Amino acid sequence: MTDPGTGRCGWCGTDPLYVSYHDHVWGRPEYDDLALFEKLCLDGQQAGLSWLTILRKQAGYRAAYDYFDPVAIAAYDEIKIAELLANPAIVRNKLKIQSIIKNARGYLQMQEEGLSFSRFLWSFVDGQPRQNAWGNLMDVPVQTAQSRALSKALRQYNFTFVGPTIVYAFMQATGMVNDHLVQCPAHEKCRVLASI
Amino acid sequence: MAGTSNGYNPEPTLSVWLSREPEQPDWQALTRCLTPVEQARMDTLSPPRQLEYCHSRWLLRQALGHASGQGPDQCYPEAGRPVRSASPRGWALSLSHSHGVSACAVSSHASIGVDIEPSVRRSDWQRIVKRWFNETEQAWLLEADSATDFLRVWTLKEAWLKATKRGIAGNLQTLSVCPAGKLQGDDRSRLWAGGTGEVDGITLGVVYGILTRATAVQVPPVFWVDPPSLSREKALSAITPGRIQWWTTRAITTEGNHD
Repeated sequence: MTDPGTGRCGWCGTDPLYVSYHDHVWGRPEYDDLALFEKLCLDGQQAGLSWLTILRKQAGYRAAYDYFDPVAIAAYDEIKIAELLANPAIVRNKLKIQSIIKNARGYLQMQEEGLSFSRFLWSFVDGQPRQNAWGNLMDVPVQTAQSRALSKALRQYNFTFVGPTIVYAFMQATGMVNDHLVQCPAHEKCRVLASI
Repeated sequence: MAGTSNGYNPEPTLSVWLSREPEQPDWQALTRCLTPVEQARMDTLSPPRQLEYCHSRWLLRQALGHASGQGPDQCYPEAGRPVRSASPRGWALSLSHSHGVSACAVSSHASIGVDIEPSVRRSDWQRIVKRWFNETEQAWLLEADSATDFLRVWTLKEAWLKATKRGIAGNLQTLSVCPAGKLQGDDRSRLWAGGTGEVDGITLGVVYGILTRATAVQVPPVFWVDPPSLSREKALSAITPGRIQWWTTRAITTEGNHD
């Protein structure tokens, strides 16, 4: 459903941070390797929590995880993990912390193989944002054949917390699919951005 | 006592071996003795981790070779976590790696654990202490306000968990370290001793099984080994004694077993 006053996708509610995220981030095609890496890691951190919880902690995450520099993260050891587990600015879950480290190592492995993270991800939608035209939130899928394929490929590089549902949420947020409802003003904006 | 009247020393033969990763690695020399299982493992790693891996495995062979008297090329660990030797049989092993330095501790017949950290390492250690250490340790470490003391305690705890074969999660309080260096642990399955100190910019903690309760425990000697490097012409790796300044070395007490 959309908000009757603004036409926005109803899922973002009225929290200003969430509304701003909907209006300025969600669904905009993102092609930057490191921005995509950060977003994929944060989407994994969301598992079992609300996205707003992670969004509120985003600054804390950046400070705690060396601004998502994969080289720095790949070298994290037990002292650093103990430090992260004691840091209230992030989600303190050992599996989730280890997930970001594994993901950084997977990212670097792709780089060693000459694979750009962005091109790798976008290849699952043939490099072009898919334009959907949902009229109802209930119609929007939670995973697709593409998200299942991408999830499987990421696992082959030892990424974790990248199930097909998490990966689909990531594809929506980074504009690989335009899943703003057709009535939402952001739908047209994202469609135009995708054609540039 | 560590020795008996006939001169026979029943205690395990202990030693700790350190080596810095070479800037220009001699990959052939580093990898030629890897077992097929080790080689397969190495093939799954990214290049920086490959160097760390094969350098550690090379050091393990040097350590075991020199400690046992069997040539390094004939030495190798059991498959899986490298905590026991397969050739020669029966030695306990422990590996640690930090910031380009590898350590391997060996004991002729009892469990051993080692951990190293660069002595200059600065982390958010107060947060770690408050969250994970016991109240006594919190009190003295925060009062001392010394990153050096933190690293000593940390490396001892890590070495303890390796020697007693436990993970770090939830177990950091199973060894307690007092400001005077007294150590108390929770594992009563055998007698233990441990020590921590600084050697050439490295803080090193080591914990090992002992066989007899002694007033002065045996302390492992520490050696540096030059890694095979293409930038050096020497065919053989030089071994030099590490000048270690121990902060504490002593038997670890368990409840009802105070020294």
